[in-house]
Amino acid sequence: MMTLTLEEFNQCISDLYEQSQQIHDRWQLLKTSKGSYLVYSFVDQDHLKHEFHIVYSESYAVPVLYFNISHLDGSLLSLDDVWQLFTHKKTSKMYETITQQEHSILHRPFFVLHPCHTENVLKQVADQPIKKKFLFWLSIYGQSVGLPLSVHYAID
Amino acid sequence: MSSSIDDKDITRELWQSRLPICFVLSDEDISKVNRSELPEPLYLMLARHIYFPCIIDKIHRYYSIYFKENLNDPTNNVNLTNLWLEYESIPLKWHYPIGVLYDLYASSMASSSARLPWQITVHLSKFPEGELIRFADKEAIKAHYMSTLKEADALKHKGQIIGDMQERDHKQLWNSLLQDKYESFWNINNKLMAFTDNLQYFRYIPFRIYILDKPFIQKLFSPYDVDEGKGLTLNDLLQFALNHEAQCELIANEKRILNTNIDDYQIVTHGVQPPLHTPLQWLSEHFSYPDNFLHICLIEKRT
Repeated sequence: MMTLTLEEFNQCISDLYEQSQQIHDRWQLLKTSKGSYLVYSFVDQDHLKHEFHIVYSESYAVPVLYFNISHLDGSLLSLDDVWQLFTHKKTSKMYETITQQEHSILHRPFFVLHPCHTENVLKQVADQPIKKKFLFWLSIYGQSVGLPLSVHYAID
Repeated sequence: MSSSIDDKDITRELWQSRLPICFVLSDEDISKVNRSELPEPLYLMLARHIYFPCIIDKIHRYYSIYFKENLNDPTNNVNLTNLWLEYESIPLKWHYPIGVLYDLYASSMASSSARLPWQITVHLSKFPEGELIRFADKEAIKAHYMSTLKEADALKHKGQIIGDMQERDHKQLWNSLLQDKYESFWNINNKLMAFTDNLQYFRYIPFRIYILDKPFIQKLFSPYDVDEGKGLTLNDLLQFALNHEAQCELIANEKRILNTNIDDYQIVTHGVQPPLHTPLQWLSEHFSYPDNFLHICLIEKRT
């Protein structure tokens, strides 16, 4: 299956959270009446706060990576700023990958890597166990937007 | 899928519906105008199904005359890129179609003091970035529109139809929307109304339900009940959504649980109130906005 059910997603984020606790990493697991999601945040050497959310998309049946980068005074980076940070060239294709959207649980603006290609990405690990598929997805999407992922998660 | 002449009249009429809107500069920003005369209100007649960011250029051009000398002066914080719109202290979420915002906040059903033209306040400073999405240019609003459209197709057809479309079809949809070209739009949009996988209906119906002071409700919902062997109605959708929302509120231990009685609401979309027994599949094909989502406002009836 190229997609994840909600149950599989919840299992994956729960497992990741458990592992995170074990290796003293900073993933947080938030449970709301609208769904559960993972949060990772850190402040970089330029005093920019990076915040990543892993949320389930019912429409696409895949995980989605939301993120925001803000100055310490709380002001958000613009799309242009974000692009400069990740040294992507500004082309029309750019807008197909990162756009600002209403977070599906928190309903406020977050940048999101568009999930319409996630199924194709997951095809590469189609016959792998769910957990490996999830980590593969996270490493690919997370890497492109500066999410640090310890190798420890890949070790069972 | 058959579409009678009457059905086409309906989609055309919805396409043509307009709202008269009056843009007024905020008191705070008026004080920064550096001309002897203050800006008159800007009157525009806008299509219900487009987005405010589509006409932001017009608003920019209009106000830039009044701030010519001090646009780039950092001390007064006036900056056209910080332009945002507000109605009765509510920052308008301009990634929603104009008609949705009107029906929810300013229509005669929503407000006893409602009147036309719809008076909206223009702000040029203190952009509420925790609440509003920024659209730096037309490409950005186009990208947002396309991503919503793709999501609709993911729900209806697992993305198969939009995935098979050429880039020029996407361009045609967006440009037709901007240029108000109904035929050109529906030439492509008709493809998105087709059926796939041997079904005689969409896999799931793309919808968003808006209730005041709540984030919109969007869930997976099929237009066909396989067990009962019958098509579902608007009433079925609304009951499902209200019940689900009430459930969430119970789980979250909210103090007030929303009213799940449909009769206590006015059901508004495109400024009209469709009958509750309307088949959902038909409604999705004919009453969806250009983003292929049904956007339905539930307004509590005043007692």
